[in-house]
Amino acid sequence: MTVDRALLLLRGAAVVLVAMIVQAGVVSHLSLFGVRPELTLLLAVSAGVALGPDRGAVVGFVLGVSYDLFLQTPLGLSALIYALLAFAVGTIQLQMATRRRLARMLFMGVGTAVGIVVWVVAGRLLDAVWATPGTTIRVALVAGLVNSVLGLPLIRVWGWVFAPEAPVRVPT
Amino acid sequence: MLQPTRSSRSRFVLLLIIATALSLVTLDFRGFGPLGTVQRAVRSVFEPVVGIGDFAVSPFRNAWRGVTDYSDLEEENAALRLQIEKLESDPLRAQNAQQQLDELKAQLQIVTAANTDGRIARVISGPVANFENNVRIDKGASSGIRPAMVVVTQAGLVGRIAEVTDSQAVVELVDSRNFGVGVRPASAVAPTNFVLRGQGAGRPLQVQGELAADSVHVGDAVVTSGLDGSVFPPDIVVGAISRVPEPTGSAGGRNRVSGVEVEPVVDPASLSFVTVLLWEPKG
Repeated sequence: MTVDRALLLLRGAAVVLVAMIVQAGVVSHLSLFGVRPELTLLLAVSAGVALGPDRGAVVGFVLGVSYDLFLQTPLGLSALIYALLAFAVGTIQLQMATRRRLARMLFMGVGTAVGIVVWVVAGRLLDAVWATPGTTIRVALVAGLVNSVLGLPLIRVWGWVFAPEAPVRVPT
Repeated sequence: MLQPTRSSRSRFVLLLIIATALSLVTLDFRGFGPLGTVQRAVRSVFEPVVGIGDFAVSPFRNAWRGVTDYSDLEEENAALRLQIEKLESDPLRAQNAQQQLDELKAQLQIVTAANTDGRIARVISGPVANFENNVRIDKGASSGIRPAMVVVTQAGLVGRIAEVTDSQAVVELVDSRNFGVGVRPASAVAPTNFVLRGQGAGRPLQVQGELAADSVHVGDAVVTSGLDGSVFPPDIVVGAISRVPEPTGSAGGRNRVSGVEVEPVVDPASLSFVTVLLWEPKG
């Protein structure tokens, strides 16, 4: 392992650790219209936007597993959804070939809302999560709006984590 | 500037991640021990952080609630004033009745929530995430608290202990989906026991199965039945019957109803302190 690679892992671990501290220690105590901010989900979506589908999926998986450790839901549920979501957001952004701010905000807002709905549906299938459709939609809309506003700075965070490393693999 | 691109390994990486996540879900469902150990260890490490976060954020949270929930608070205050007036109207008779009841129970050696040891705990936070329905308290295994112990307030049943670390515990609330409790109408003359199940946060509890229509009435208080083997001591107030649907049929000459609903007496959103009953079920 190169020094750059080790530093990248350290920075990545630090971001995940800080995210967990903020989510569990601060954000979980705040709510807007009865909805708690979804910081870890936002980080996963922003990773997809900033890093593309491959790295986004890996980062989403790590964030999801870390978050699952705090939840009563089955371990792996958030990891699965966050990874798929980051992959999907990264893929769609690549297909659309856009890097406009507004588009990225839209990706993060819609990505968050879709992620919440998918998470609830998957949790329901496992009989681990239960929420009325009305509650699910309310949480998805509010969290999506909040995350679309808060998301842009987090793209810079992923830039800080990954920038020193060779950023691309040539597509085959 | 980052230049994200797709590599040829995309599908492989994604499949690997999906397989790993599904494996974790499966192992967790099967109760794979090491996963639970890791989860408990991580939560123990983060406990102080959660407590500090609550302390730091609470002034802002309270101010925000004061602004956004002002009309609700006014209505709540009005309702509480009415309730106080009602409670103050006949305290002596209630006191006398309670004294007689306590003496009778003591003579009969009936174990109830009132004569069970408990640990008073402070509610330090609500759920970590949306869609969770629990609260965290500042007492844990070091205070003698164990999983499945019953949590109450003066008003009635709050829930039961779902998880315990050394210094904190997670309380599964009474309206959580899959929460079940054996109950009876407080005023029932003949034995009428049934099971209540939670339907999700903020929704009333629902009676499982059918009941005789004349055994339940809107407004009746419902208390834990405390039958042998129940994890709940008897006579803890759970709530009041809020809805009795139209009869769906009859059996033995009595109309039957299903889907009877009970409104929990405790509002989880307003919990500050709770009591964990150090009570172990018989047998």
